[in-house]
Amino acid sequence: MEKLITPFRFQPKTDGRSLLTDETRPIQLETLDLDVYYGEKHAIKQVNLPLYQNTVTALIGPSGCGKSTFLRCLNRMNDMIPGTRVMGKILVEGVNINDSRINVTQLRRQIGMVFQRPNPFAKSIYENIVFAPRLYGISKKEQEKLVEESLRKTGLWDEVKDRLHTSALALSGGQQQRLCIARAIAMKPKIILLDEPASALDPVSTGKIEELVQELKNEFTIAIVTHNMQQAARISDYTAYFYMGELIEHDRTDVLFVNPRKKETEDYLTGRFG
Amino acid sequence: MTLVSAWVLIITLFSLLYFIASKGIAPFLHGEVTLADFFSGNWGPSLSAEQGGPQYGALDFILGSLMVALGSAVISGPLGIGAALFMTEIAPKAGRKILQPAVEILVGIPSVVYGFIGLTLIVPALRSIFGEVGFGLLAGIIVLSVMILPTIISISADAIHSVPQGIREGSYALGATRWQTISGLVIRVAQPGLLTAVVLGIARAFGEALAVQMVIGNTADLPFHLLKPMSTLTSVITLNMGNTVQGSTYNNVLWSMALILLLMTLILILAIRFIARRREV
Repeated sequence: MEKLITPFRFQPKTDGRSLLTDETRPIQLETLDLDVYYGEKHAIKQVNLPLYQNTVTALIGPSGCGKSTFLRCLNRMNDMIPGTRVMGKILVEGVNINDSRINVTQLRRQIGMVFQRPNPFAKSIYENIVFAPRLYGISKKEQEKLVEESLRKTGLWDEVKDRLHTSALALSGGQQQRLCIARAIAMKPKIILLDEPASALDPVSTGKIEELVQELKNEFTIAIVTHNMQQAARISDYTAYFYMGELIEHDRTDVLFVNPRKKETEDYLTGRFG
Repeated sequence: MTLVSAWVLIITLFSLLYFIASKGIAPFLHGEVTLADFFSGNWGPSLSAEQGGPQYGALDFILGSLMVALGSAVISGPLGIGAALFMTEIAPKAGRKILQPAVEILVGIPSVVYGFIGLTLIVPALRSIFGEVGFGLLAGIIVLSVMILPTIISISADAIHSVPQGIREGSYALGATRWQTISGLVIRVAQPGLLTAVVLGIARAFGEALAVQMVIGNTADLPFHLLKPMSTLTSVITLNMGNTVQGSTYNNVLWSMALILLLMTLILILAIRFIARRREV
């Protein structure tokens, strides 16, 4: 059989543009014509998406639609996967961070990330939080302050303050995930990327994570990938619907869920999908 | 069928243990040699009674075996772990394509070849550099280091490989560099496995006979000089086993040395078990 190598032709669904040109909030991060290839696979196609300051943007869509891939571009985690090419611009405060001259480790301190499976290090709770700050030099006193502050912000402080120096692996799944969030905010980032942070957790822990996200947006700009549409509706200000690597629709969450402009979005939201 | 093979294995192991132990304890039970004599440094099995002999002190050899094994672990430990880190963390592609086959080939080379290379290359080289005979502790350590390197590399690589990917991602996402991730987290998590690798390397070095015997000089001296000839338990056993009369005191003392070797290996294996168990907690 002949190998099909069709040249990529962009067929705009949204013209690749955000529909929110009337939005007045400042933009914290913005992608311009972002394309991602895994080898020959075109995983993200011409995506233009802004993240507005101090808001929560939910990325939804079926499995394999590219939402996680998109998220991982924003702090250059795709650099770690051999054979990945990311093209287009990712602007943060006017700087294109998708540029080989960018100091990636520096960047990741400003754009934190939390993963689907809680991944605390096999160290104490305290050590988990100070691990990264310590790499850049931090005094003992500052460390203690930072640990308390980060744990308080994630609502963990009262639960773990008596066992800061015991293993983080002894915590429950939900606590571990909140510790991972605490670890990320200890770096004082501007943006936090959450990759399905609650999908491995029970409903109670999920509820706590959702509350936490609501609180954190006062201080950070948040992008969250989720499979759970109720969750997206509950916690996000904006929602972006991805399908087959394309951004189909991006709008305010209350608008998108009630009055989607695209038929594809409506079909997905109402479960008439596929 | 599998049950039968399991039993064959167990019976073989225990009969070996029984045989070596009974032979090895014999000289002490018959009062031919005392424990104090055996653990002394006076070796003179062919000395006549007038000369105060025969003497069967094996201390030089016990220490010799320890020194060679530890010395080669000191060289191969860091080298092997470094190579394992390189082939798993830094250049997985080159690791799989070049280092992995290289390691497998190193494992397959018979020990007599290592000994031969040591004899023709290393010993003369040491002789011309340091001006001594060339045979000795250093030559033994070098040859053994190369021999145990593949063991250490492959077991370390497995240990590093089994560190969950999430740990690395978490670290990178916090802005840690690759080296900070490796030194601060990966090595820490893999530590029990790395220790197991080194201990197994020591066990292998401890039991190796042929290659060591070819380069070590085989004199009954304390092994505290890198360039002076010495002996190990294994080299003394292989050299003298065929030349002594079955059932003679000399022959039985060789069995005692074999027993010591066996006990040391057992201790090392137990140490590995202990390390492995601690990992599970």
